Amino acid sequence: MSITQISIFLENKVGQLAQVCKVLADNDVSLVTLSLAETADFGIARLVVDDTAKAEDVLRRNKYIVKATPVVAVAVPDRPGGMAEVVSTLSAKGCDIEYSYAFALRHGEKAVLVFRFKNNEQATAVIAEAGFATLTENQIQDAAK
Amino acid sequence: MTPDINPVSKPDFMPVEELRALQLAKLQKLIPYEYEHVALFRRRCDEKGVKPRDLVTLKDLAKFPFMKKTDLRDEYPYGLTAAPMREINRFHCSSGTTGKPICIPQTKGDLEVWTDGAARCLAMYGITADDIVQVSYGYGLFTGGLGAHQGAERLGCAVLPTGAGNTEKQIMLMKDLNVTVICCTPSYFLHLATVAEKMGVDFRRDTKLKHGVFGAEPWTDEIRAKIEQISGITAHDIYGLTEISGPGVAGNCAFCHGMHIWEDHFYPEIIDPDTLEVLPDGEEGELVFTTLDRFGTPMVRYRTRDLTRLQLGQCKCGRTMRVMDRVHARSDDMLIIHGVNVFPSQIEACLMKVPEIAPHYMIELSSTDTMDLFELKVEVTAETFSDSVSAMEAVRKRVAASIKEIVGLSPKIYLVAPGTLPRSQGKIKRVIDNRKK
Repeated sequence: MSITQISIFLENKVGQLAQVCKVLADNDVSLVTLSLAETADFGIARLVVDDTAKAEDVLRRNKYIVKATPVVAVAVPDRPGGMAEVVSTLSAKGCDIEYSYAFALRHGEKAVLVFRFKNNEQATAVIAEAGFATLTENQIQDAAK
Repeated sequence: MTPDINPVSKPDFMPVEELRALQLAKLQKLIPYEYEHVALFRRRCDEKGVKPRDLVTLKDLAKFPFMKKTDLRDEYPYGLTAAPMREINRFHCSSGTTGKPICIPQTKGDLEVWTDGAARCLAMYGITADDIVQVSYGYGLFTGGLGAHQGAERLGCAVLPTGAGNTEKQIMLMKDLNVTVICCTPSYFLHLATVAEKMGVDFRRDTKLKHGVFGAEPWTDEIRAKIEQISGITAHDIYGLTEISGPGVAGNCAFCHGMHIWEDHFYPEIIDPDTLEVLPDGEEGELVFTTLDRFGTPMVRYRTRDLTRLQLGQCKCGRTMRVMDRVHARSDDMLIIHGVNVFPSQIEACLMKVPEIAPHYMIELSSTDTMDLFELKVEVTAETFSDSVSAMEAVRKRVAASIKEIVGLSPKIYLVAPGTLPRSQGKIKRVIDNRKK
């Protein structure tokens, strides 16, 4: 089970991220989590939001390059070793992680790990088999509330 | 005239009447030869209705057709070669306008003439057989390295052929071997100076360096003053171009503010680049050369695109060879970056080969105290944008590889958002040149 992440191309200049945030805020899109990848000249903002379709639409209309990317959100116990168990299972099965970031759920004791895999199908099968819980789009939307 | 003049410099002082007679005699041999052996020249002469026998005085040269860099490209590789292959001794190439190089096959005699020109430049600078000459121009297809090398060997100098790059080792050798002369681009010398400073090497205290022979890129009086001030050497100008031979076509003496052209080998004219009329000495226009002594790939009225003028009057040094102003502008859009000829159209051609990016670009040139900075901005497209940094870096690498392959340079490449670079609407600015003039 995967969720949709929105990736945005940003030039590495002051104010670029602020503009993106403003577009989302003006359109009442709420951020669940985000991660920024940066190089010397450009950056890639990766967002998980409550309303993916709307976010994509408003960003495109504001001339951003946007790409919807499938990522996997795994809920783990928010304690030492919570992430280690998932990642060691994945690596034992040879799943290649492109990148990952994490956030804590507001209610309860769960943390969510977001993964972008080279091969999503393989990784989701490994996660399901190992009995880890993945979040659906609906659960992500709830998390934003 | 200095009494201790080097024998190679003897032709520099030829009486003017003798020089003009020599030029005419050489032209009257060259033009029929070119007409016989180069189809393009023959066809153009026929179209203009001009015959080799119409060359009666030097002024008559103006009746003959021009050659341009595009001719060299169009006729690549052998279309303008006049000599049979058994007489060709060496090739040199330089970049052309669309990625195709230009190719100049040279005979033994051509190389001899070029060597003579380079040696006469070095002798004019006061370099002698006692000098140790480090050649830090690139060797290979580029004429810089071998041109300076041959000239220095002709004078009997001890030559250290380091070529370009490996700067720390160059400084070590310069110091340890007591090098007295360095030949390189002015920007490379400034780079050397920066590295030397980091290594704790002071040119004045730790080296025997006296002369710098600088060419292959335009440079200013300010840079000359800076070079002389930081290093204590005398900076000399050497001019040349692959099409005409290489470095050693012209150089400066101790008196002139400009460069003496070796007119006994390379006949100069200045033309109005618009009307193509020959301009009198003293007026600025485009420099045109006819090679008087080259038979491998002779050039008749070759348009250099360099804007300059031939100075009036004779130089105080006693040389009769006319002095051209230092070149400060070109009549087309060619850029010289790190001594390499770059046309914006080449960059465009490179980008066309990388489907992941839009064909919009911006060349931004600037200079630090020591080096040209070459930056290239290209636009990513929505289709190829990836959430993965490594995928985006791969796009950047493909652009870099394409440019390295065709242009031979490695600019710093920036990926920018789509729609942020100017679009082609008529003539647009693709180059921002903020280099210190």
